[in-house]
Amino acid sequence: MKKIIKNVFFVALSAFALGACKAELETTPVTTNGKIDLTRYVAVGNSLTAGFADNGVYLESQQNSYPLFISEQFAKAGGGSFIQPLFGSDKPNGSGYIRLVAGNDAPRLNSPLSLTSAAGTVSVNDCANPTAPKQQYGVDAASTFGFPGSGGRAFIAYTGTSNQNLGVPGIRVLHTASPLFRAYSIINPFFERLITDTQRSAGGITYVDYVAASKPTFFTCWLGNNDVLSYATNGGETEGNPNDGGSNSITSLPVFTGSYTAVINALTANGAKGVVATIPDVSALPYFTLVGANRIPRIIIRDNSLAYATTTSTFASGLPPVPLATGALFPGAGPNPTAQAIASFINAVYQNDGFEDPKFVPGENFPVFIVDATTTPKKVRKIDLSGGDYIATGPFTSANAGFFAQLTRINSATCMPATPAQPGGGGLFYTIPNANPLLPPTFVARPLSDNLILDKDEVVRARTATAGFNNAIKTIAATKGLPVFDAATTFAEIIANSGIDEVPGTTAVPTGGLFSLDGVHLTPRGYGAIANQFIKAINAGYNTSIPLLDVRQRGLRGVRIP
Amino acid sequence: MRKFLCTVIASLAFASAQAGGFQVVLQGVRQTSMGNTGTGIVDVNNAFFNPGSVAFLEKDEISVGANFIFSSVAYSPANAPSDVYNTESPISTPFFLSAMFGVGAAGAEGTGKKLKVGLNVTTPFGSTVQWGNGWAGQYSLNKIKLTAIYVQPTVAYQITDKLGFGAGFDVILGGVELERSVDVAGNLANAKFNAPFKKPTEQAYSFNVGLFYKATDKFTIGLNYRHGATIKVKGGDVKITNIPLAVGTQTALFTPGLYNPTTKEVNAHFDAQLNLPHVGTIGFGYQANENLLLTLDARVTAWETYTQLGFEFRNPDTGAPELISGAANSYSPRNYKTVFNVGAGVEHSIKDFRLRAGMYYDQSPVQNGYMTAETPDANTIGTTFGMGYKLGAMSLDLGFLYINKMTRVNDPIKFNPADASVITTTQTTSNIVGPKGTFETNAFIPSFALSYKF
Repeated sequence: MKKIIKNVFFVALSAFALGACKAELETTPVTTNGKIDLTRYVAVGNSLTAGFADNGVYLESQQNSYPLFISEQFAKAGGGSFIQPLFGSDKPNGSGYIRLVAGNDAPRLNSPLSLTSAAGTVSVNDCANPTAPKQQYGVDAASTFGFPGSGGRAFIAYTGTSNQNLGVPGIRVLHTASPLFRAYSIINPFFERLITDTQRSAGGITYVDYVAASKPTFFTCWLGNNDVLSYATNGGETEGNPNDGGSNSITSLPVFTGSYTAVINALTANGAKGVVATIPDVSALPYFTLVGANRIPRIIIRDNSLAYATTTSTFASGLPPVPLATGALFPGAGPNPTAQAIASFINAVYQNDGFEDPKFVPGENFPVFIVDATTTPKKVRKIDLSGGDYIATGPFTSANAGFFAQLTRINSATCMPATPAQPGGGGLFYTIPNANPLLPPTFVARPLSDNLILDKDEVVRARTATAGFNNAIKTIAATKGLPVFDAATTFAEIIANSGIDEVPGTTAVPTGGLFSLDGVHLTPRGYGAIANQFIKAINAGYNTSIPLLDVRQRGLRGVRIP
Repeated sequence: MRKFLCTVIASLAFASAQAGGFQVVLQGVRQTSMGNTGTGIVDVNNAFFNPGSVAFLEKDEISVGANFIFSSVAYSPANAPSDVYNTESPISTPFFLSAMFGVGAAGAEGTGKKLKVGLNVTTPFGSTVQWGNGWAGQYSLNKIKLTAIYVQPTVAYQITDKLGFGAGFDVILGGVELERSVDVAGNLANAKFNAPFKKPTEQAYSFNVGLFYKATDKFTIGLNYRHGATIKVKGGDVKITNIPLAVGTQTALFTPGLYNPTTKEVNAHFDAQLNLPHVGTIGFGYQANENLLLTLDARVTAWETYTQLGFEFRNPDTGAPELISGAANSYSPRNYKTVFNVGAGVEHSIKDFRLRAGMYYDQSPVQNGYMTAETPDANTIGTTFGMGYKLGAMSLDLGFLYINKMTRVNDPIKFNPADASVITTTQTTSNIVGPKGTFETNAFIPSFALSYKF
């Protein structure tokens, strides 16, 4: 009835005022219900918090960090300003980053992604693109990448005060609390960038001290990823020596728990509230999943021939010279050898070099990698993706480029491809001279080094560690009454549902929209989605109604494709 | 991404929603002013509402008129209920024309000739909805502009002094423009679909029949059936801008030749079709006294044939499939339901003036979970008001219609990817139906008409 009266009244009114009527909706008021104080929000974390993307931190990536997105939503609920240690607009390239370039840009890393096509070649261009003026990077004019400049710093110091984004790329929980790791604040160029000259000349500060000085009223804390991630991205090569800080081993749980507690204590010392996040399963990251089975070249052994090729469907042009051999070329194998004879020959070559029998067989063989180089003979086996092995080389691999040439990683310091160390010191192949010097030698692929493959046992170790860390995080959060954003669950959901909430996306790189070119860190769209998960956890934990960021309305980008 | 244009024709339904349901239209100011009723009375514009009743028109008559739709839709995202977005739609102006002439022998007293022939031209679908760029539902829709014209030659005949029958043959011409944002390889791109007014190579045809019965001097009954139609768009244009070179040249995503590397655009084509529903109406008129006419209409619209909206991307010349973002077609569920509409009106005569008022209630065919940005439809209450003035053979009518749709929450249904008959993707479905959130629509529609009797 009320509606009818309203309508009649409106019609009568409209007869005189021929204007349009604007539809109106009652909106839900934004409120923190007095439960949290958003005056000074501080974000604690690692590279994900710093806005790291595309293997670097640069101005645009910082301007799309999830803490910034969260702070924008906080502002609608009475939150204060949010200051980030931005690279200046005159240094937009920051630490440098990788990007896709089209056409004839002559990339230094000639590593085509899967987007290559006949009409438009897209390549990965590395961060230290020599054509870009060095001044655009956040480095001292006298420095070279990875080496201190005239000021002794890798990056020009950030001199702003009151920094609220405390994300330090590369930092582990391991590094945060112990005074033994004060020097870490100088060794890590991203941390070094944030500390003062005084702190620096005093030998550095602990991250916990740095956090304590930030005096938040509200915080997010997403730490711990690197305590297991660097182990995984390095193929689990370092099994022992936890807590040595320099290796890529997994942090021990007691040290993790103690240091994490110290960070949370520092954050809550003045009664601040906040939210903490768990660590996603490393094998959820595209870094480990994008190199599929059909991108890995096989060692194909047939009667009278040895060849290296990906599966026939993708074996087209673009492979490196494939060493083909005929029977006469196999020393000791006799003329026109059978496939079995060639397989036995290769197995013998391996064993002669101190490896156990790699068990090559006639037909297609996946490449063999070193499982354990400390045993005698050294342990090797074939890559078994369906059995749970992951390729730990990142997404820079393509069907159109040779796997072996692609088993390189980008050295984040030099931005140059780092050729993996090969056993025996020489190249990718054993070169077996032919008895007849007029004939070319035989090439036999060497075993791949351990750090290129995260094998199934290493995956289990990483998962076990992740589960332990996540339990520790949840336990510490519970004792402090802090809600938890369960990133582990969220990442699993993204994979299962091809997106999250109303944000579409997959773990594909570069077309999936969520993960940046490095296969570990996120795109602006991905960080927007993550910001919303934090806000959801806050709303649930504190009974607040902070609006979510509308990722789609903002049109946040995925990987920029030329 | 695969699912990416699903809405062109659904928009046809929006136009109707704009006017308060598909068949509740703006084809006569008198009818509109009386709660969208008229099936049971005699009026020249009933060539649309009930051709049977025009058999009893006393004189030859021509009527032309136009409506001015001021509409506004508000949307509040479920994710951010503190935010509100409003449409920026320009005014749209559907018009109508009716001309009926008596032929041959005279009929009953005061009802002119027994046989009437004439023409009825209406724009039962015609609307522009513009959300503008950068609103929360931009992946669903940014803008839609729709034009549809019904040209209906009509004949009506007095079978007896009390019973009239009429029929019209409809030729339907139409066109649509649509813009929305799409996701191309994880980035935002803009897609425009355009099937202009002249372009559709196939017109749609339909018919409209009616019976009119004078039960007593005061009491009249009308029955009307408007057949559905299959509207086809053939060779419509799809233009997607801002496609990176490396994406546009992927033959797995776009059929070679569709992508222009210079303009970074993809130009493709679509065919689509929509079955418009059958509509049945029963209407009553009651001449309470010399100066007071009461009307009541009840209508059923058989929407349930509108189960999904399908697009096929095809070369208009060869019929060969065209791949757009890896898909050669796109289907999106609608699952409309059959709905009822009821309206009542009153007309009071004071000398040469007529004062009119009415109300109607219109059920929405859109079921929960199936709302879209171009049809954020909801049950509707329409309130109407109007006046007429007679000056000799000429009359002028003014009408006002205020539409207020119920505030409605859209929680898009989740699709089962295994159900290939409806959906072929596992992707987030918010651009198929949606966006998620709360909608509120209202519209204010003044109208006028000029009629001449001779």
